[in-house]
Amino acid sequence: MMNCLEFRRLCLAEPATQDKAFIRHKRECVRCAAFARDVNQLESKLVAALHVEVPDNLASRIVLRQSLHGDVASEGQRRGVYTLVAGVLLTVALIAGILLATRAPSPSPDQRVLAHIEMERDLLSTEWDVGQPELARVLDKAGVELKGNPGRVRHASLCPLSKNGGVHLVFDGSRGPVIVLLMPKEFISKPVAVHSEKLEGVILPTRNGSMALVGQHGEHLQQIAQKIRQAVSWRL
Amino acid sequence: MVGKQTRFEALVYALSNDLYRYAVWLCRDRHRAEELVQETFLRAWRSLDSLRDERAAKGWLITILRREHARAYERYRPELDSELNLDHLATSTSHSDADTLALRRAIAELAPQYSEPLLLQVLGGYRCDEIAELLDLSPGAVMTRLFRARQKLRAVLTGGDEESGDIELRL
Repeated sequence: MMNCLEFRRLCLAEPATQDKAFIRHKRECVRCAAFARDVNQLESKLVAALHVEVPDNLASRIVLRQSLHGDVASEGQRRGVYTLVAGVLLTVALIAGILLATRAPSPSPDQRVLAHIEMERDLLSTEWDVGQPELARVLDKAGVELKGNPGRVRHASLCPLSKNGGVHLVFDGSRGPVIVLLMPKEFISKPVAVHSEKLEGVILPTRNGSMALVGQHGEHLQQIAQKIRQAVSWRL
Repeated sequence: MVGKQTRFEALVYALSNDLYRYAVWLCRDRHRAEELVQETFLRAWRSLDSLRDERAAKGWLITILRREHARAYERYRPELDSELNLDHLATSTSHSDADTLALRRAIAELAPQYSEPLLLQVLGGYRCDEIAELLDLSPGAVMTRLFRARQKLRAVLTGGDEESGDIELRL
């Protein structure tokens, strides 16, 4: 049973909540119903205050820039120019397309990891220490229990790309930062090498998925992997 | 089969407006906001193979945009003492009543820890638990920040202060 104080706190935090106890309390309490109406008025004014007009053809300009600077093939460039002209009509077709389409072929695990690192390259320059409590909190969301000290961690965050609670970590390596990606439910049967012009790494099987470690060429990744394995346990 | 280009364009047309509105309030400058959105989509294009679930696209793009903003504009501090600046954030032809202007100023003056969850909720349509995932906070922390943000904004409109809001909450 929700009381009036709980109702008003939730009302201010999430006015559009569909919480059943919230809805029931609003139906039964006249004063809180009035409070909710007041907050809804504030919400309408907030929407008005935050309203921003979007520049004409913003989407078309984004596609055009991508076609010019995004390493696109010539066919893509032609499509970008076409899009600039036919933007509005194409919008409808593309939204329908995304709903109906099947997926593109999945890239291999090492390609996915390298693409991931490319997007997350800012992580390589992070310089702060992550405390054990914060590290434990982030790892817990990936189904990993922190039991010891894996060494200095410069960054720890949940992965925005993962449906399964993946985690990004950055460790200090002997040749620079080492990015570690914990990827629950992404199982591999044996280690997979990762290699690019500037980076190299390895994807290792874990009890609940896999773990990628990527650093500079010549980095002692196995040592870091060993420290991590000793400091954590994976939940199934 | 859907090509990478088609996938990308679908994301742009579906999500660029929402991203732009969020970016304007994040960096408080329309020109910087457009540049931020352009950079965000360019980086998204280069990492599109990493996105395996289209339903996660909006959160993914917002995360890229926030990081790009932090990287590119962390030294930039917009001036808040000009009505003109704030006016330029939103349309100049509508919603220009006193409450709207007062709210616009109050939102701009909120500390980022309060304004970011609020923007994600009002502009992005996210629930508290989703905002918690995006900002890497606990749901309870997000609820507290949203609660306090709205408390501050209500105080602006009612002419009171945050304490009066607390009294009201105590019934």
